[in-house]
Amino acid sequence: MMKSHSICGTRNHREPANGFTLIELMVVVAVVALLLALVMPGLMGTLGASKLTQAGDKMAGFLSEAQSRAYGQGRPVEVRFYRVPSAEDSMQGAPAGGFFRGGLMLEYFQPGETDPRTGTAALARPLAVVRQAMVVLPEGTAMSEDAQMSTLLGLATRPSGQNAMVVETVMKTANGYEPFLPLSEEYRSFVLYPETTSLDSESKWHLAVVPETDAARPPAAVTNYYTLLVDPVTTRLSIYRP
Amino acid sequence: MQNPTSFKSHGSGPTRGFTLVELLVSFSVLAILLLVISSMLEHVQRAWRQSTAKVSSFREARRAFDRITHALSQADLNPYLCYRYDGSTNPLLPPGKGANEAPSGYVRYSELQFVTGLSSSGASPQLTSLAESLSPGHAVFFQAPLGDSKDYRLPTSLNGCGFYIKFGDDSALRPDYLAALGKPPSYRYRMYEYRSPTERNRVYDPTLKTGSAAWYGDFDQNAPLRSRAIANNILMLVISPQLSPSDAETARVAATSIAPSYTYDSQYGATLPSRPQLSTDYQLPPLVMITLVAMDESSAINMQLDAGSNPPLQRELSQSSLFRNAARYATDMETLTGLLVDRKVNFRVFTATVPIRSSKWGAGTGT
Repeated sequence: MMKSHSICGTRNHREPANGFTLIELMVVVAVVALLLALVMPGLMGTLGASKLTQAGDKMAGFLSEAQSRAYGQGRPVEVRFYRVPSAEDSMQGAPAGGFFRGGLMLEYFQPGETDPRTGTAALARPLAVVRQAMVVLPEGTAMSEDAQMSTLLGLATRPSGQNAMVVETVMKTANGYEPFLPLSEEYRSFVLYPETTSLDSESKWHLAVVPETDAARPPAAVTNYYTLLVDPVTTRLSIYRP
Repeated sequence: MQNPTSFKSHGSGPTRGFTLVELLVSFSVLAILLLVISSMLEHVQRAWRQSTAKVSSFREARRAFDRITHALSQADLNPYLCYRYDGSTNPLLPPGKGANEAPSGYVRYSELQFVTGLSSSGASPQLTSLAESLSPGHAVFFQAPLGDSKDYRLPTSLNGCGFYIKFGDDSALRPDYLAALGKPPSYRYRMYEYRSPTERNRVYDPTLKTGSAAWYGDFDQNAPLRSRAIANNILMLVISPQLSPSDAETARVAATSIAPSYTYDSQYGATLPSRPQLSTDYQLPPLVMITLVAMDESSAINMQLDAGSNPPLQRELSQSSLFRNAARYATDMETLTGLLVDRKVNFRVFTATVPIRSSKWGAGTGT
């Protein structure tokens, strides 16, 4: 301290109007840049991780709501995963239509139940009701396309074709019930029953929410993950993080 | 640079800007402030994460508890009356030709079974036969029309069902790629549910009748298939078959008198006992008291740090004294909770008494 003051002092004598010298400014800027460089990766990591947590929590909330709806109402609930395009997709090697980002649930009313549209008549045929808009993962995150990381998005959960067309599907909106227009034929689905699921009980069923940049990568190349595992018999949901 | 008026310091004569040292000092102060703030944020975040983990782990325990009570209340034996042949080696079958073929009376019988008791090895009847340190508390196995079938959706088809605690790692339960990523397995006490789909229900399997193997003997095969983990961090499961309070009062016995050491088996081996049949043979207990002790995930994480792959809290959960005598249930419970409090474990106790719907306790009997 003392030394630097004396330096300034001498400089003041020589040159009364004294700002920063270029060197000083450059040193300061360099120090700031160094500090930022040290902090940035951690900060970005934290930001990214919290975004991934948010995305994973959203998906977990969606699945547990479908589960409690199936249990509470005693009706089958179909869970569907849709592709939702994003601006960055082409750079990350996403297939046509984008990565899987959206979740939609359909509640199945059985024949003989009260028709939810009229509230009185008994249904003659099964009816599927979409009660809420699709749940979409936040920007920058997606479900992993890798077969090892997301068994729930593999071929086993692909709709068989006619299956989806047979059941009349309506969507609940502010103005009542309207016919539901399928967003796309490309989706994956499984059914949650009150006590069990449509999934094969001898496999492990899970999906991984990952940063968008990792969605097409194999497990070893993935930087972070939020894996949701659904028990095919008990419907229990478990979460695995690094 | 040339005109430093904006950096003029108050009152002092010569105008000058900050020195490098001053700037560096201010930056370091700023850096320290940022550090303090970030560490505070981290603390808040950790506290929040802990509290949500607590809520969610007890939610899981609650759900597991609901599954036990729901399944147990549907336990069934479906007993029937059949002839008893005293002159035969198997009293349920007529003796060979020439012998006295006349039946000696009616007896109640059922191939189905309801069995509960200490889970670990050495217990009689034999339940999971796991090491004592791996399976604290009791286990229960029974048959119930839960309608769980592999290929069909049958509303009331018969399933084998059971519940027990097992300590172990989760490598068989979690997604397979996690091992390749080097994520260490988590060692926990877990509550397992044994459920044999109708197609695999071995209760009528004739090969089991000859040996000592039980129909639930496959409970631990191919781990997650026959038995599924339904909740983590369940430390104790107590199953106590009881009489209804009014029945107990009429008979002037304790409600727990039907299973004084928590052991209850509706069957007596592969065939009938030679003594006259009692009204309690091949019957379901009218009530079952279920107690479950769950701890939260953050306590479990701390314990794994200490114990690694060994079961923690062994002294606390030791069955040498705990939950062996139904009359001492309240004392045992107090002892256990006291020990857990001493170890600063965050836990919760769930308990309920469930009536078994198809129990016909004390209803008509043969001789």
